[in-house]
Amino acid sequence: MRPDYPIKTARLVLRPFETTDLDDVFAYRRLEEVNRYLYSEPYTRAETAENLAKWTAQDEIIEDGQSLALAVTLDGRVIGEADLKLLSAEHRQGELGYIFNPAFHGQGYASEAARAILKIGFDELRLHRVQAECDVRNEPSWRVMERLGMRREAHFRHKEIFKGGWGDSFVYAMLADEYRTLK
Amino acid sequence: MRPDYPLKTDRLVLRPFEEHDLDDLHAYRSDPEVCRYLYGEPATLEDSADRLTKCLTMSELTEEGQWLALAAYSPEAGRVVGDVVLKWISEKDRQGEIGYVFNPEFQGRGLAREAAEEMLRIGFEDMKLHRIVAQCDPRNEPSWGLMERLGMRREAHFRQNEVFKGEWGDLYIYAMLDEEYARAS
Repeated sequence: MRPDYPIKTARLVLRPFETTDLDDVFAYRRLEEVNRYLYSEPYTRAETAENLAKWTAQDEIIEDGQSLALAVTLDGRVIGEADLKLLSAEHRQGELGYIFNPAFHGQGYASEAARAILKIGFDELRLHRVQAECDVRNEPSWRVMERLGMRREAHFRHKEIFKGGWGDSFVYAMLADEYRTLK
Repeated sequence: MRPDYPLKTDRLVLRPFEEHDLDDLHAYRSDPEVCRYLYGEPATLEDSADRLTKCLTMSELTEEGQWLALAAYSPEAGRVVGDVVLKWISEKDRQGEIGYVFNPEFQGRGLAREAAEEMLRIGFEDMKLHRIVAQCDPRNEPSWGLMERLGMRREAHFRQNEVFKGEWGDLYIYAMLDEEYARAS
């Protein structure tokens, strides 16, 4: 499955990454704040370039475990990224993710981009359920999930050691028929 | 890690499976009621023999990903009345999972609870796990009823996260932490 790029929302454009996105992506991937609840540490410019090269190839999903990694642009500038991972084709399950430049928080961009990802997941990939996970301390992230209309299905306590301490996580989810009633 | 067999609870002996356990094992693993909320169809004798063969090697844990599978033997009944498992999920994060399957003839007497408590003890005291989970279909009320009686907390209710025997299935995940186990002991 390969979406018809570019994907346009009211204010944003979602498209595969390009190596020329380096400066824009480095601008937020280097920040402590952005990485606080990610497994990654702040990127160096070289690490950003290395990862970007991988992400440019993540523009289609063929089998379980693969993701779409899309640049989210505003007026031509990459302000964040949105992902859709195929967890299981057999059980029609997927996972949504998003990371945004803090300079662009508070404008509803994450919700707008995530809605576009849900559309790809439910309408194009024909998924039955899409989930999203985050650290329980990452309130802006799970607020987006709630605003999208996702339900909190799990609160895992101490499921893993995360950056030196026990990590708690939320799992939110939405079913295809719930998505249909949103439209 | 290899527990000091046999493990004795009030009314059961937990021990590795032995070849002669086949009939007892098959008696409940072939029961449709027992299998309703388990993966797989009721066992044929060949299925049970295969399971038994696998279980013979599951009496110790040397690396994550492995399962401990023990027979729950009732000296009073003179039979294996169920089996219990402990999975070592993660060495780094010190996580495990317990499971239990009992012969319906022997349900309702707290035997599964005794066996499950022993598995929690092995996990927390012998393996020094930090967190142990248990999962089941939400329709399997006796199973999650036991998880609650063990003092586990429901952490997840996944809705329609898999196709289970031809229809959408939900999942409960219960969990307990080592500090909770210690307080309850």
